[in-house]
Amino acid sequence: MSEPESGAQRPLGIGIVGVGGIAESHMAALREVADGRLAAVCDIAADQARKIGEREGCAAYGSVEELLADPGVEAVIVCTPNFTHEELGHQVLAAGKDLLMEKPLALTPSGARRLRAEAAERGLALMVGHSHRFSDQGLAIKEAIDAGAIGTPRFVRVALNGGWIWPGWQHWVLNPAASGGHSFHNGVHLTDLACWWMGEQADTVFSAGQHATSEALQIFDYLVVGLGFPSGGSAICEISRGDNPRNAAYAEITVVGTEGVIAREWDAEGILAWLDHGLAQWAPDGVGARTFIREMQSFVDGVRGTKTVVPPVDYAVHAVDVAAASEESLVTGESIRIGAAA
Amino acid sequence: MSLTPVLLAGTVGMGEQNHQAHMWAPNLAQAGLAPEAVWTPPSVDDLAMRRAEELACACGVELQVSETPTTSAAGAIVCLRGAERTAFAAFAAEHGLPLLLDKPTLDSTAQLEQFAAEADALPVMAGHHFASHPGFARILTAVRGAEIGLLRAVHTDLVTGGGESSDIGELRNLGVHLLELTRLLTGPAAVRLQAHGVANGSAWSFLGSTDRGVVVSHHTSRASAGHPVVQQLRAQVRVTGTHGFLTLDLTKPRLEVRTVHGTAPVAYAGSSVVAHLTKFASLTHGAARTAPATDFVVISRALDGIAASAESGNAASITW
Repeated sequence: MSEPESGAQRPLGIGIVGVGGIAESHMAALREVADGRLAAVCDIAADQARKIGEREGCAAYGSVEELLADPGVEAVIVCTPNFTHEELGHQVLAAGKDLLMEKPLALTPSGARRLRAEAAERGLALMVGHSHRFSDQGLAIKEAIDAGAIGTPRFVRVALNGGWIWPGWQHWVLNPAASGGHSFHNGVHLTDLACWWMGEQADTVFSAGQHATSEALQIFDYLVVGLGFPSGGSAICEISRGDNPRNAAYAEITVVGTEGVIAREWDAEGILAWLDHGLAQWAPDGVGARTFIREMQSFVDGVRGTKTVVPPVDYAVHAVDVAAASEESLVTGESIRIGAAA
Repeated sequence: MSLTPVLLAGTVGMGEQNHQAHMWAPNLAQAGLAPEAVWTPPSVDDLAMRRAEELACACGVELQVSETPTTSAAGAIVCLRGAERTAFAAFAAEHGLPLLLDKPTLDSTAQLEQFAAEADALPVMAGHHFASHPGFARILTAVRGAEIGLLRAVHTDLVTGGGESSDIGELRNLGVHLLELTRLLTGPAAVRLQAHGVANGSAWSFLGSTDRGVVVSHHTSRASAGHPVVQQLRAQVRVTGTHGFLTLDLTKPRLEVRTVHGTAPVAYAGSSVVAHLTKFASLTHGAARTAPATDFVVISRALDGIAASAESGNAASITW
């Protein structure tokens, strides 16, 4: 981690590897975080990196090696397809840079553990982009739980359903070899929330899925992951990209405790829009942006060593354990036990 | 309008719970039914005997305490457990008396097998009144009419706040309500599932998939057990089809009366209990049909399978 300097610190120089969709959210967040700055971007699509560099006023490179050699880059955010995470993560850490890895940390439990070990050995911050932990609703639920509002949590239901599907058969998320499957790509968000709110790591995973949009899909665009916890509690995490109507966006969160229930109903944001194509739930402006700003601030704080990264890296490793078990369960139809705690 | 006479058979429940007096009897008239008499076998405990006396007095009808009742009722609402329930089934079968059986799965599968054998072909409705909830009836029509295409998923949650903990666990006490709804939506199915439960039986969940690939999940629990105020903290059914999805809050239809003192719910458009009793009235007239009593055995075995999965930590295959 970067050594604190005396007096006012200069903003942390951050490089972004991969300038696809999620990178835009991180760049927008960096504009709002005073003690961080975008130092450089890189992408194998060098022209795209150059355009972004010009727009953002930062250095731009066509390779990660060039970005890591830039002395202005103190920490790195990896925003590339899932299958590249482990290798790129090792490159970043080997270069002595702190790392914010987009989720998932890796596509195998052993790979996740290798990254954790390397970061620890080098004394570098390793954070994984489980951004839902920073959402308004996610934090509010956690605060209510921690305040004892519902007693001891023993069941979580998270449903984040919609009909938007990744476009084109060439998209890497639809390729399980590249994305790891839906358990890795989106499932980790939900299962991480469930573990966070339950306050423990899962010990069993059982999943059910459907190829809702097309039988030709190789990932389950409709995925439900069931978690069992050592306490006897459980969670059901449902993510869909195959719902009809296609423009639907249904969100429901329920946390049940020994003394009550926290319910985030589908219309919790309070804005309903009746449009030509049907009913929609809108969120107030800034909801999404706040999530990424909080995440970015957390990363900067973690790099500075003033706070622990969120989620703790053990939970990020556990999210990979759960995702791997979920994909195995989808194939075998069996409940998969997770061995040693992450 | 003349009311159809029914026998109120037994006042046994789960602990302090007294469905005969607090749920069924007060809603009879709205369903076109009237109590003919309250009957109880003499073998019940003092609490049940006292309840029977109080109920007969409240209803202004005769109290019968005997091995078998003397009745000319068109049907009977049964709040008994175990051997007394089974014995009454034999009496009802002999006299062709249709039954509304409160909480069938308070008895074990073995006991329900005996009950079904005694009831034989007698029409017996389970007291699972959510099955007659007007909103559920509507979504069942929607699913069976393919209004949301073909069924893809059913997710149900039921969290009861307050009240007495079940002596047999909340899966057989409360969870059976959700299982009944899920089963009505999916139809008979083989289900591969994994269940979980907390050690004292107060919270359960399962996730599974039917042989037609319909994803099913379920959570049932009781929060704040022992609190005197009982209310549904969560009672939801969510159904996804190939061409749309539906959500149903079983605590509605209801208005909210909001004042500076708080928000008070006001139900309207009839309760699921009245709707269920109305269906039972139709059954007594021969205007409705119901599954044979062996159906209770099917659902009880399914609950056994769910509990076994939770206990073992392994996935299980069940049918419902």
